[in-house]
Formats: sequence, structure tokens, C-alpha cells
Amino acid sequence: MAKIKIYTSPKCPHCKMLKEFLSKKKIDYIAYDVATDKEALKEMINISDGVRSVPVISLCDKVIVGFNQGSLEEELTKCLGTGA
Amino acid sequence: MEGCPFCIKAKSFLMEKGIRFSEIKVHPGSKEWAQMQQKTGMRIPPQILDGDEPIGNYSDLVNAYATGKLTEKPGLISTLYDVIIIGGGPAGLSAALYAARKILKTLLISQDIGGQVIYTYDLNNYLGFSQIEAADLIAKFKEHVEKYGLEKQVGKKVTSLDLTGKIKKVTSDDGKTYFSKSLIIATGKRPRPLNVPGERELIGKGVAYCSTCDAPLFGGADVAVIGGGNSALEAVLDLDKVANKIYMVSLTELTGDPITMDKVKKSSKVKIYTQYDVTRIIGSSSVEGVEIKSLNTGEIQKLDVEGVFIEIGLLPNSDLVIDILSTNKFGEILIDNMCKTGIAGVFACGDVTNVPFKQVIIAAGDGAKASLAAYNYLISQR
Ligand SMILES: Cc1cc2nc3c(=O)[nH]c(=O)nc-3n(C[C@H](O)[C@H](O)[C@H](O)COP(=O)(O)OP(=O)(O)OC[C@H]3O[C@@H](n4cnc5c(N)ncnc54)[C@H](O)[C@@H]3O)c2cc1C
Repeated sequence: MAKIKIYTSPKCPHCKMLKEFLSKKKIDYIAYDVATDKEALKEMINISDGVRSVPVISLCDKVIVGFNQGSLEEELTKCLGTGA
Repeated sequence: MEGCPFCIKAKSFLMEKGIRFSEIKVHPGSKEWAQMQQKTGMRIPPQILDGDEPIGNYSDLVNAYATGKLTEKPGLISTLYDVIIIGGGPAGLSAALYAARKILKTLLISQDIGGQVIYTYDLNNYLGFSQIEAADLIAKFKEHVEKYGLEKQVGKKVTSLDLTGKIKKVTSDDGKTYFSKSLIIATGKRPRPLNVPGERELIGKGVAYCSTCDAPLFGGADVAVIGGGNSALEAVLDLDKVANKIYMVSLTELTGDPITMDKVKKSSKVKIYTQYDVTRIIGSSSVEGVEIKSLNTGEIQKLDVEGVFIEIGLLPNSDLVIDILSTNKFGEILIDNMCKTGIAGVFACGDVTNVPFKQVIIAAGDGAKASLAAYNYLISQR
């Protein structure tokens, strides 16, 4: 199962850029659309300690808010091992 | 020499400044010690030489650097760029493309690629694309620029500039300093904050600046939109589709496009407060309300909301140069029609400048102009 969950909304450019980034790196992920999926929205707010802004990324034990390629790359390497 | 604190200091200074050097270890009585004495006339290490020319000890080195004597000698610096571009929005990317095509040694430093374009869903006014998603346009920009093998540092914030010498110095938040013969500032704009208590603490926890992104997360909620211009009206319409109740709070009467204003006024969900100021955003772990104050009566009231969308305009990212370059009353860098600032070799373009009409196509055109002007400058300096 994919280790990475991402919480997104349909018209958010950061979310689209995040998905393209993960796909390009051939990293498996599950994406939730929190605009329609209320359960996922609740879960996102829960794990992120109240964040109501997308994208939120959950990987290994970490929750990251927003898409910043540099810091995400670092976290991916930590979570998935080198070569991520 | 071993056990010489100023030798260590001199080495780390040179490393930090990106200045190439080789080290000759000396100890009293050695051949190297004699050489040092012969070349510099001095007996105490460290002694720093530029070729065969003695610079002096550690404090002479720092002085030589501060007065620009060292950096004026291009061979000494690890990499000397023709042009450094700060900013990866439309203006900076277009400048990078033109610089790369002129085969200039170019470095682009930016916190992100895309700039403000990331805060909008789609565009309908960029020539050649009747409708394109922002993420796709940015991907196209990036792909085009990368075709020329652009050197870039993304995710880095430029924290200081030294524009006093002929060689410009650019320092980023990771402590690295870069050197260049010319500089293009394309740092654009950022959302203007309200600067009220609670705002910073609750960013992302109900305080939002991107309605396109975050409006859908407030389904069934009561929310407030702060601002009275076009972007605030657009935010209200984004929220109108999902929220339960929308309070629109503005210091002034509403301004903006009449059609959008009409739609907002017609919505039964919207309650408009004009001539009201925001005094506080309330909430501990997430937004619980916003406190507003009537400009007419001074009366304060609390609106119970889960979200506060702040749409009160933009601020130019000119903090780096506010004391160095001329700016207008909005803080925008003043440029002429060649994108020149008051300092030779320093150019600016796009939204951070006084160029009228802030649009992607205008910023992109302006970036191209800045790059061509930098090219002319470099030729004139040869
Ligand atoms: C919500 C919204 C909707 C819009 N819609 C449209 C539209 O439909 N059509 C249109 O044509 N225009 C639109 N615009 C305007 C358009 O986005 C801007 O005019 C354009 O992005 C300006 O480009 P720029 O490169 O000058 O600046 P920006 O896009 O602001 O880019 C500045 C860049 O500089 C970087 N930067 C800033 N400071 C530093 C620093 N210290 N160190 C390193 N990097 C730094 C930033 O990270 C960013 O990458 C919209 C703007 C917004 C906010």
C-alpha cells in the first residue's frame, strides 16, 4: 500500500504540482479530494492539528503542510530511503 | 600553522565568501616559513597572498574584501556569474530564458517556481492560450527555460545584497554567497497581511490567502472575507458555492468590477460590513471568530467564523533593496524603460517594479527586457 497520502482540492495549483512531482518520481500515493470527501477533510484536520489549507501530505510519521519541492524531497528520502 | 586561531578564521572566511585559495603550512624554521618571510616581510602567520602580492593578515584580508579589492579580481572568486536573477515567477523565468539564449552564465535563485501564478486556478488572458490551468502554464515555462540548462537554486530565499562594488554579491538563507557582474531583481509581490493579533498564529488554521485553493474546505461553515476590491469579491464568490454564511468586511465601500459586485450583493448568504476594520482574529488552535470595529461608531463586535480569507491587496517584495534603490510610495522599485534601477548593472522587472498593470504577460515581457538590457550592459563593460 502507498505510504503517502495527500489531501487536495480540485482547483489548487500547488496540489496539481505536487501530484505531478510525485508521479514523475514514480512514487505511489493516495489522493483525497477534501472538497467532496468530508471524512478525509476531518482526518486531515485531525492529523495536522487543525490545518485547513491544502495540500497536506502525510508520509511515514510526518505531516507536511504545503508543497515545497526542496523540503519534500528531503522528507521523501528519509521516509522511503535513498533514491526516492 | 597548527594552533593558530587566525589561520582557521582566515580559511573559513575565504570559504564562506567563495574565494579560491590554496594553503601552505608553515612552522618556525621550515623552508615554507622562510618563504613566507621573504615574500611578505612578516613573521606571524597567517599571511595571505594574492598571487605574489601580499594582502596581509586576517584583518587585512577582511578589509580587502570589504573594500571590494578582492572581489574585483574575478579570478579569485569560485564562480562569477554574468547575471543572477532573483525570483522564479513569470518575470524571472522569462529573464532566465533570454539570458540563457544569449549564453550568459546565469543563476536563478528563487523560493519557488511560478510565483503568484500558483495562487490562481486558471488564466484566460495569456496570449496563445484561451484557457490554461496555472499549474500547466508554470510547467510549460519551466520546461522551456530548462531546455537551455539553466543553473538554479530553488527553495532558497535571498536574504541580503551587496551592490556597492562592480561585482554584486547575493547571499541566500543557507549562508551561501554568489557573485555576479549584473543582477536582475524579479521578486514580485506577496499577499498583504492584516497585521492584527491572531493572524500569523492561525495561518493555515482558518486564516487563508488563497481562496481558489482553500475555499472548498469550508463547506457548510460560516466565514469572513476581508477586503473590498476585486480579489475579495472573487473570494466571496468562491465561498458562496460551499459556505453557509459569508461576512464581507471592508474599510471602504466596495470597489471592483460591477458584474462581480452585483453577483455578491445578490447572494442571500452574504452580509456586507463596509466602513469596518478588523481588530483581531480569535482562536486557540484554529479560527473561532473575528473581531471587527465600526469606523463610524467605534462599536466592536465579534463574528463567529471558522475561516478568515484575507484579500486586501499585495505588497512588493522589495525589502532587500528598500534602503538601496529608489522606490515609490507603494514600495515598488522605480525603473526606466530599460528596466534600469539607480545602480549600474542592477535591473528590476515585473510586479516588484512601478511598471503599470500587473499581469503575467506584462511581467514576462518585462523580464525579457531586463535580460536584454543586462546583456547590453555586460557588452558595454568589456
Ligand atoms: C490570485 C491572483 C490571480 C491572478 N490572475 C491573473 C490572471 O488571470 N492573468 C494574469 O495575467 N495575471 C494574473 N495575476 C497576476 C500575475 O500573477 C502577476 O502579475 C505575475 O505573477 C507577476 O510576475 P512576477 O514574476 O513579476 O512576480 P511573482 O509572480 O510574484 O514572482 C516572484 C518570485 O520571486 C520569488 N521571491 C520573492 N522574494 C524572494 C527572495 N527574497 N528570495 C528568493 N526568491 C524570492 C518568489 O518566490 C516568486 O517565485 C494574478 C495574481 C493573483 C495573486
